Amino acid sequence: MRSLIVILSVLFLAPLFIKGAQIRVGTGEAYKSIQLAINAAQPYDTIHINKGLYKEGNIQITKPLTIIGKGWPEIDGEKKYEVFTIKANDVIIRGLKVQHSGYATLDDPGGIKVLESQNVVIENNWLFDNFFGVYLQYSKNCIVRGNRIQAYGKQEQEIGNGIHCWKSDSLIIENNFIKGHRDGIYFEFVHYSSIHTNHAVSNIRYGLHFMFSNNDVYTENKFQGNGAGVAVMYSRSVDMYKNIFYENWGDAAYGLLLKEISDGHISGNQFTRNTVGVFMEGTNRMKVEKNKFDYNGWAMKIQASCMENEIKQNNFLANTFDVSTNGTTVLNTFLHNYWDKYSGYDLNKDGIGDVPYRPLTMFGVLVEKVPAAMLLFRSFMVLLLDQSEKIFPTLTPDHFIDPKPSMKYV
Amino acid sequence: MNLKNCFTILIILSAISCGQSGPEKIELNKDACYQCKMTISDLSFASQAITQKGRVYKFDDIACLLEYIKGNTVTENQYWIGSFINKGEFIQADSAVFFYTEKLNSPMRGNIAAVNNWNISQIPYDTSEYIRYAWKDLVK
Repeated sequence: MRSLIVILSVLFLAPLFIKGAQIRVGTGEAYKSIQLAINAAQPYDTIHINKGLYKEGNIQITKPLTIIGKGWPEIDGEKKYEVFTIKANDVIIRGLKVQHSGYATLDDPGGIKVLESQNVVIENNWLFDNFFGVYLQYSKNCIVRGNRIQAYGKQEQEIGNGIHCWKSDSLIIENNFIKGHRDGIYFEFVHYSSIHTNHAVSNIRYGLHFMFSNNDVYTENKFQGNGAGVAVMYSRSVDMYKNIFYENWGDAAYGLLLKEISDGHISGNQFTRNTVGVFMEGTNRMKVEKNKFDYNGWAMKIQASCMENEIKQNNFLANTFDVSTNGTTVLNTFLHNYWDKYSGYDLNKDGIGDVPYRPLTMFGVLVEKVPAAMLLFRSFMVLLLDQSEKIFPTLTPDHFIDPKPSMKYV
Repeated sequence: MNLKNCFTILIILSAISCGQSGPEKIELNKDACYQCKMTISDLSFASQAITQKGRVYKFDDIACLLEYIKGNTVTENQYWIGSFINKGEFIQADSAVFFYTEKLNSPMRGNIAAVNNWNISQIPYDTSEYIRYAWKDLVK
């Protein structure tokens, strides 16, 4: 019994003694400079930064520390320096306003750069007008959460990504707001990571961009008005749930661009008002289920290089074209989707249309071959051709059908 | 306006309308790569292929251009490679010097860039850090 009390008291009291020192930085405090405070600190100390403007060039963090801002202290890179460089495990950065990092040099300066570190948490910061916002490289088990990341990139100039992750794994990126960068979130060689409830708006290129990244998941994010939507490329097993792809308009813009990817799951997403909702090229064994496509130019463009994709129980509403393709081979299955253009009937009342639906119109095929033919869209002749094609398919691939379309909104 | 004037204008117009053979401007963050469909966001690795008919295909990475050439039997194309040093300037492929280094981090990880052959000294890496190529080495 006595030994138990000893053990318990050690367990309860120990944190009181191991807790690191509290160091304060600011006018009237022991330290005026953040870098000097960091140099003087012992590992696992906490540094509190008071409100104020700090111009210290590049600040290096090389030991485990917690850095907390009070009243949004502004840490300024004067457009010349990378603001924070972290090369240590267990660093926490919270409540800072990190602004004006260096620009467009070969070493990709960022607001907060994390190199070869683990268990770093970057939380509730305001990253303002940096070349790269948060940059993680060769890092593991890091969390980037609740940051507001904003830059003022223009189309004709080069700018870095909001959250840039390279050769890392087990990251969590959540609740961030990212605006005006090149890509909102960029993943390259990043595995086993998740991206939740972020909001990427008006980024110059993509809201979210995957390259060579496997076994990742992104859920409940909103991507709005980005230059070209979201791109998932050269990756395997990337799952996408309940995201909103909204208003990605333009010649080369897509809600979601899938290129050379396989074995993923796209479910519960909403694609609204995009030039192309989903563009697929070299995409294999993807399950596209229970998504909603509305008011898109093309809901889906499935190139002939795609195989064994299942498109099931999706809702297609008010799209100019439901599906388009550039080939004649059909290697993907459509089943139980709801198509608002379906004009079939359901005599046995089982909720499934008795005649197959052809999502590919003749004019859709024509436009794919001769884009300029779009001029004739909604003309009487085109209508006539489309109707006759429905009865005697000649140009459209014979098997490009949903054999069991749903009669009701799924 | 007399007939002669008319003719001159017509001839000038027709001369302007065709025969445009140089590289086209690549609109940053707007034009997409023909091969990989990605939006071009860095001119230092961009390139373009111009067919005999004058059609321009743009690429975001020299690896994409090479991929396109591999999958294409037409050989009379003109190839223009973006200069790594003077962004926005295009060099005819034959007179470009290519260098490969992992440090480049090009968009598609081709990690090849080009400079004009009189500009080799401007490559911002040490000669031991990169491998040099000529155009004919890359396309063979």
